[in-house]
Amino acid sequence: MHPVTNGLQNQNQLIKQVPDKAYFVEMVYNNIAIIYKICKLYAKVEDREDLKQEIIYQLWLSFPNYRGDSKFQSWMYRVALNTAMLGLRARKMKYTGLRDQDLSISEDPFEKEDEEARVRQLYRQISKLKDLDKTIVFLYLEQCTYEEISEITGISIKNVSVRLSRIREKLKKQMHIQNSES
Amino acid sequence: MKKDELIHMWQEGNDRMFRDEITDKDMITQYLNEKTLKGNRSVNFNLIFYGAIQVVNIILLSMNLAGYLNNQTMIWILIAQLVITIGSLVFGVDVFYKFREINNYSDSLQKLIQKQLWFYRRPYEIWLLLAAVSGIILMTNLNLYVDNDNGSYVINNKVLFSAVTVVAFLIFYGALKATSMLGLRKLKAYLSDLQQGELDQSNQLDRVQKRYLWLWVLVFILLLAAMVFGLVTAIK
Repeated sequence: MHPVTNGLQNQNQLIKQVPDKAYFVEMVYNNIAIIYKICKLYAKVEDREDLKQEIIYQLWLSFPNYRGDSKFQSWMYRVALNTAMLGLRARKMKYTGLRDQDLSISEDPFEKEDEEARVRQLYRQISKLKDLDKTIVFLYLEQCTYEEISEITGISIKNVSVRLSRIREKLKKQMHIQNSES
Repeated sequence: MKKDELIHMWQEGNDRMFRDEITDKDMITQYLNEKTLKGNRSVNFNLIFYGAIQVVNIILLSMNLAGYLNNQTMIWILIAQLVITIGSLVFGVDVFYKFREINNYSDSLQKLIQKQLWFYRRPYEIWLLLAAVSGIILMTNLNLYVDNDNGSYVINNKVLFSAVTVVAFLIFYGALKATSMLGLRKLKAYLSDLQQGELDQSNQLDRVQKRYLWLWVLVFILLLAAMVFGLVTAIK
């Protein structure tokens, strides 16, 4: 089965015991979906493979700094997002210059209700945001806590909360979602 | 509480969207090799290119020192250039290590941006100046080597010579500076976007490094002044 969802339950313990290449590969393989999503949000179609490679390489370089005091996924989000925004590939790109990226959005009206088409639409709307807002909403959608988002971005929890509230409202309007949740 | 519909949409859609993506363990292992990374090639090329210019400068300067051994004024000019060149080489290595240090992606985004901003505003800026001066030294020493007339060197048109040197310096510096402008602007935009009024950490870092910066600038100005003084004396 392909590991699209986040994997191992006890992977944090795994890394503490044997921090070698084989285990690193295992961890990244089990969380590869994080990288796919970030590549889709931050890179054009033709750049995604390069960004994926750069993220994996940077994860490996930063691996000795991972102390195991946070979840592996949190650490992975941090390194991967930093690479997407500030890495070698990103340095050549304009700030928030990803608005015209090809997200292969289907315009077929019969696909509107399809989950995949809806998420493509969501990607398109997120890609229109500034890079930092994009990061915050991405982490929120990945169900990171405000504390985790604050740690990863370096901004205060209060600021995360304010920004997120604004971004969510904006996205919901664009996605034509009724504000039904309590 | 009902789950946020955006999160629901995100989870369900992503599970379907990436079902055809394939990145197996062998591919991941392969990506861990630095050589497979395209971006690193340009960094390594820049480093090798910069190092090569310094080495060529040192060789040329050594040859010119031997060639102008009887010309007291030229000797001082060449020694000043040699010190600047060796300093540039050492500083270039230091900048390269700093560049690797600032790219610690385990830091929070804000901390990483502050580190990178400091790097581009301080050591990298000095490196740009040194790289431009290295270009001038290379140009000058090629001329000195080719036009060596039994240990003497004659500048026919002093104004033109000075103007060409200044223009060449500005071109070297401008070209190098232009390559880093995009990245610097982007970092500034990120930082201002992250949090207005939370620049304490970078300001602190700036204050600490300012002392070292002044030291470097002072040494650089003194050596440059020695070189200019020698040139002016030679012209007279």
